[in-house]
Amino acid sequence: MSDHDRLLALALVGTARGGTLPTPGPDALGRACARITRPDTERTLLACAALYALAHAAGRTPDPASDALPALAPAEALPEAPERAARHLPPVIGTPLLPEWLSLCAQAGWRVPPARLPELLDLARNDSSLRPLLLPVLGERGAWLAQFNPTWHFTPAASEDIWEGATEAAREALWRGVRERDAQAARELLREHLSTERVGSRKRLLGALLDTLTPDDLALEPLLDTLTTDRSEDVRTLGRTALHWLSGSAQNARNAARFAVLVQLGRPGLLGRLTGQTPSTLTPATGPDEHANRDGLPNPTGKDRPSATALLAHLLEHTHPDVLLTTVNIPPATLVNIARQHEQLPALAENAVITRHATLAAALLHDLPSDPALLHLGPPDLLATAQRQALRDRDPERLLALLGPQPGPWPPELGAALLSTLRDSIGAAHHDYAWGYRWVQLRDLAAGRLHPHTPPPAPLAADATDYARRTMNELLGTLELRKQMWHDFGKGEG
Amino acid sequence: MTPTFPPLTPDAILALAPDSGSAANARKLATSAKWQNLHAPVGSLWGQCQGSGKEPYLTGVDLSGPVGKCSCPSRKFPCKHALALLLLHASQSGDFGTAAPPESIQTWLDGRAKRAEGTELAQTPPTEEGRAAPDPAAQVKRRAAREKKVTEGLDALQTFLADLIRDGLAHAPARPYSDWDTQAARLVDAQAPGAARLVRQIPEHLGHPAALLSHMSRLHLLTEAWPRRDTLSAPEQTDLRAALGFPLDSATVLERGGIRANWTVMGQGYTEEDMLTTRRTWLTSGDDTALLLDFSAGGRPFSPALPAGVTVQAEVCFAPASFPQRALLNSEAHATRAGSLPDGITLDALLARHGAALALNPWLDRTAHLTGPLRLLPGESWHVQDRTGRLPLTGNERALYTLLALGGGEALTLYTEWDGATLTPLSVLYGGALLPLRQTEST
Repeated sequence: MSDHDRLLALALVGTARGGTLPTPGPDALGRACARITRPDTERTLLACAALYALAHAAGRTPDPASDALPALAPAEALPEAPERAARHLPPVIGTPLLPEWLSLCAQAGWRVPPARLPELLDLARNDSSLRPLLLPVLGERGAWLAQFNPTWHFTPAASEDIWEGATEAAREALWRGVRERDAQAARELLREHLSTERVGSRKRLLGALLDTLTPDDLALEPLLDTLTTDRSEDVRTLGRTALHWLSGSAQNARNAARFAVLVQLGRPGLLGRLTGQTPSTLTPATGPDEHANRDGLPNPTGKDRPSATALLAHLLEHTHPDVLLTTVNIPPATLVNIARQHEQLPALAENAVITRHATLAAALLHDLPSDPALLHLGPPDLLATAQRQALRDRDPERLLALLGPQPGPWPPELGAALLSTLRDSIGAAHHDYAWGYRWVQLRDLAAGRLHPHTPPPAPLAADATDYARRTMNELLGTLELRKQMWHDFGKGEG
Repeated sequence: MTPTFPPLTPDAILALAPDSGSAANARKLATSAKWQNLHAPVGSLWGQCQGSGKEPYLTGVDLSGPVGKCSCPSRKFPCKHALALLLLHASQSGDFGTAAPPESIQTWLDGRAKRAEGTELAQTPPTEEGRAAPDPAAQVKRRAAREKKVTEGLDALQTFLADLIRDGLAHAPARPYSDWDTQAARLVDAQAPGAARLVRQIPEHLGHPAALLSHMSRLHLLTEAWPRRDTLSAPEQTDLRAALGFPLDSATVLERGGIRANWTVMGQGYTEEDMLTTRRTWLTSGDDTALLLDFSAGGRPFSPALPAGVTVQAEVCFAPASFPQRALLNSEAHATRAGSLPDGITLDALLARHGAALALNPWLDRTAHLTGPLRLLPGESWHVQDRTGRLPLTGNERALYTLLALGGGEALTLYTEWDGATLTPLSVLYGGALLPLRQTEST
């Protein structure tokens, strides 16, 4: 025990409990301490402690070096974004333009300057939509850096330990990461873990599967089949949805067979031949259906058996269109006819949208010409025509529906017309509320999705409000900035 | 012509912001969309920014400061418009024309240029004319009254500390918080705010007996030194007064004159205590290191900062002290060509220099040094290491990870503060220039 330790021990216990000051050692510090005398023990102790504290502080040497220094970051394969491109990053961080900057950087084959990595990784920690954009531009340095901060482990390798220790959200993130790199490994991971996961986790993982489903996932059919009898209704629905989207599933085949039994196509009469419409009648099956329950159908022989129309609605909505069309061997127009006759067009339209079926959508557009979701799947010229009409009508709600799902950059002609409509609609508004929140939403959408080379509209009228000027200036300024960004990233007008 | 700063990086510009809100707002305004006129005649910038009012704000920036003038009602300085103008110029200088500024900005620029020439020519000390001469008798009386208060306050403090030792430090954590607060409040009343600050820090050390005893012993040293102040040398007396929180007599310090030289702004550190934020700006010139202190109470903005990383020509007057460090600027600082920086020192040399300073002034808070090359050890607690050993490193997380990202595991040279326990990095040598480590922005 050193002199200082003995002093500290006495201070901790307290001099009132009869302790006496330790006799200082023979070294220089001890000799100096021995010369300190004060009227009472407490003050002497404090004065000695001051001497020791200062001597220690002034005489401190570095702690022994560690041999656990981090390995050096690997050499970079990508060049760093040059200054002309990097200069745009600080102003766009935290704005809606950041995703575009990251995409441009990835397209140019560059990486983020190292000083910006912590800020971007922190942003991606809170905004998972940034992660796939950030990953290609992190460079070796970014990947190396992320290992030192557990909250930046967006795509860790899925080992058994990590899976066990992870929360439900982390398991989903883990699975998505694996899915991005190796779809087969992700399927294996589901086969291995899904059956033993808790309900919340099963739902999350199935949601992630649906987000990324491909025809190859038909390999998961046996696993998905087991989910159709799961305890949780949500899980059952998600399992059936996945089997619905996979056109080769047995569930689709069973539904198509039910459809073939239910619907009888008649011979068209004269009027039918003229209009191309085939009459159809519905004959509900009366026999037992052992798979009804797992396919989400009420028992056809039970007391709550569905009406023929209800069964048709279910089959039109929950059977992959490809399977329906090939099993019954009818063209899309005939399927639309059947749905129309029995007033089930919405169910079929839902199916076409959810399975992104372009030919069925095109056939449905004759009956539902203004459905925005179908327009986005159908022929592009129909969508463009609808958009032009909505622009002429200055209908912001319809414009939002027709433009919202369309990824940027929008064609310059469309953009120019939208800019003119925005300019004309802003009128005498003095603030956002007066203009209308749908217009404001359209303005924000336009700022990010318009092609940067969209020609600017004619100037505002001379009596335009300050608000109108400011709003249009900001919008055009954002376009100008994006144009400059495109230029600095070497991206042409294409 | 007044030399202008080399183009500042966006980081250095944002570091000029008086608070994090201004920095965030300036970023939002730094797009040419918000500006109607943008011009960069030689040595200055000006533009018109559309604010919430009808008339756009007219903003000008003198690049030799850089200092801004704006017609906006903000009391922050520089305001977000001036910062945004600088940011825009850094990122999109192509958008700037060269038109001469409007009259109000030009008058302001001319005034600044004239003052700058004036200070450079003025070799005579400022005259006392116009200032009411203080009454020496009243001064002596006030001084005696204050010293009496301090004596009584420190006597009571010594008794308080001795009582703590008598009861035993093991019982200190059980004391109610009000004990420390009351004692600190008494010392504020006794006009010894420096000692009050140290008392308020006691609860931070309650979990570490050794640190607690050493902290208390430092306080005790104050109570012993004060009654014997007449036996101390003049510089030691000023050290003691500074530690007790006596205000710096700025007029006297400036009158003594200072060192007119090229000073490099090495970095800025901030400490928040209660409602008071202290900004420390470290300047170096050759072997001299000067510390400028600025205070901001209750969230009010700081005076404009000198941008870290730049070199300024200025007269720096050191406050008298056994280890001169605290200093004042006697004139406006004007940008000049950056000189070369000295080599970094080892951690061992850093501790030796700090120890030597501590031997002169036992109450010295911290010193700052260009240190390196150092390798970073990230982890639960961060460290830096060189061939002489390692020391703990603190700072905001963003700054630490930025260092790690810049180095990629290679050694870096840092300008760091050492407070006796940990190093705090303020800037880093990167690509041949000093890069300030920005405080975390709250957006």
